[in-house]
Amino acid sequence: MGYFLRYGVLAIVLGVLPTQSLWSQVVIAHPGVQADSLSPAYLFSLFSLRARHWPLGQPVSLIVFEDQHPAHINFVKQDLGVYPYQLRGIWDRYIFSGAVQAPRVVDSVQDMLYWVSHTEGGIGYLESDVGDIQGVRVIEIK
Amino acid sequence: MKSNSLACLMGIAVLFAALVAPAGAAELPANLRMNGFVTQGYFLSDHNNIYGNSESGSFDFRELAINASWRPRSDLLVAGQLMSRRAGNVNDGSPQVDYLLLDWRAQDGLETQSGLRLGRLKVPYGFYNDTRDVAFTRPSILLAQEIYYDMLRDLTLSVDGAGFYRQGTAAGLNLDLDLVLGAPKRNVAVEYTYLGGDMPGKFDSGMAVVGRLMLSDPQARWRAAISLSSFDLDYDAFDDPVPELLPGDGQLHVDIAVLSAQAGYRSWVFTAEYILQHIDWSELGGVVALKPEVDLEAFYLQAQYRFSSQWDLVLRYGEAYLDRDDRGGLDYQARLAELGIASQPAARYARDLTLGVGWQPSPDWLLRAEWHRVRGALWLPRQDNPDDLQLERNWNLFALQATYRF
Repeated sequence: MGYFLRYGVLAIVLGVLPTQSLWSQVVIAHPGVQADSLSPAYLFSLFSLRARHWPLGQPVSLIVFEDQHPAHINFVKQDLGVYPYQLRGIWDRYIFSGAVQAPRVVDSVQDMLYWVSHTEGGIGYLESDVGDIQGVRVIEIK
Repeated sequence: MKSNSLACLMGIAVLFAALVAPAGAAELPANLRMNGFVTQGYFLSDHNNIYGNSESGSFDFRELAINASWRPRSDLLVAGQLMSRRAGNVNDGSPQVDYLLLDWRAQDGLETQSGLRLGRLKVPYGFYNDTRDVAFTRPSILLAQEIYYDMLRDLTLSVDGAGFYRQGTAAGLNLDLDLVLGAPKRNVAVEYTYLGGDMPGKFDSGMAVVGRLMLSDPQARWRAAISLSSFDLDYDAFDDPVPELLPGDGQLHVDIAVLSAQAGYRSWVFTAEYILQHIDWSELGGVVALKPEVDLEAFYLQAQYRFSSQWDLVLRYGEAYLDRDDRGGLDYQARLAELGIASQPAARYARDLTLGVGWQPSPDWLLRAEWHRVRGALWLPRQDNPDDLQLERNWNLFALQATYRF
């Protein structure tokens, strides 16, 4: 019984704490985007495809991982506060009525960095543990 | 004629967009996106037919679409979707331009965005009409027929004209307005819905005015909308004199109001919608105008439960009455009986209980199964049930659907 309790507590500590603390996401943007921080509301407005321009006029171009990619799931849940299927629902209503352009979907960190750094007004995200991030602007969400 | 002028209009729009686009043409591919989907359905009913001969099992339901969008400039969007829909004897699968539009974002800020659209535009009514043919956006295989009556689909599918939209965020709420003005689709399916069959004449012109105001929580926890639309269709009877009992020259007026509300709580999403549709045949005459004006009234209540990231359940109940002052259809039956015409009162109403399950094994695939217990035959297509008198009042429908997106 004691072992169960001990290992149970250990499992919870190891299992829950890291997902809360270490798996935070980093929002990245094209270096030309003149913003060091964004409010959560603004971030949601960008990722729900409402605003098409940055305040200084560059076009907003979303670059995202596929829906089942862990970085996408974590970003959408933690930074946008919704489930990926809810965000997909918002996107599909716009995309399939011709109201917006679908985000660019990438499947690797290299592609994410490439497209964010090469797309005017590009915005994407990475998991924080990917190491050095060069060629993109890191945006704080607060 | 109509599609030619639309193609011409869009040609000019695309040309204009290309001319005003910045010189960096090498970046064009980065501004182009293509998406699409394929849906196949299977329908099995114990009585009455839907989407083909469902009484013996029908695979005669297929939706294929491919869409593209292009941003020649940051404030311009050109978007179009080509669609083929095969649905029993109602839609034959011939490719149609579902939408093709130029969207100019005139004003774009953090709090408000507004713009103009030109071309073939989707009709914004209720929560689901703009994307009614896209299985991934539907909560079930059959959308709630009370509001998204399939027989009404062609009339409310799209209009060729212009639109204005404004999105605003204030006090932590989103308020979105969509207005659309133009010529609606007017094909044989519209004659079946409003004139009871393929008539010798046709609806040769028409005008639609559509507006939707939606208030929502920015994170989509709830939304509420009111949609108002008005359709005026000019019917040309061709024959002179018009044969007895058939409609003559004149205008058909259809006014639609829809109230919609949706709220999510944990893994649940609850939706309710109500429609009031005023149909005025008085200018047309003939048997269809025996009662010149009616108010169609319908509603549904729906609960969706997402019990895992891949699975959901849907439970829905709805009622629809073609004439809210004659819910059982008995006055209608009596009026026709005076002319010596036998009729089926069950064709004037429908009450539907739906239970469905959805499985999304990957984001690209969606499989659904559902069962409908229906009393009444209001929303059954006459094209698949040519003889009203053969309609059964109580029937069951079992449906399967597979859809793939790309």
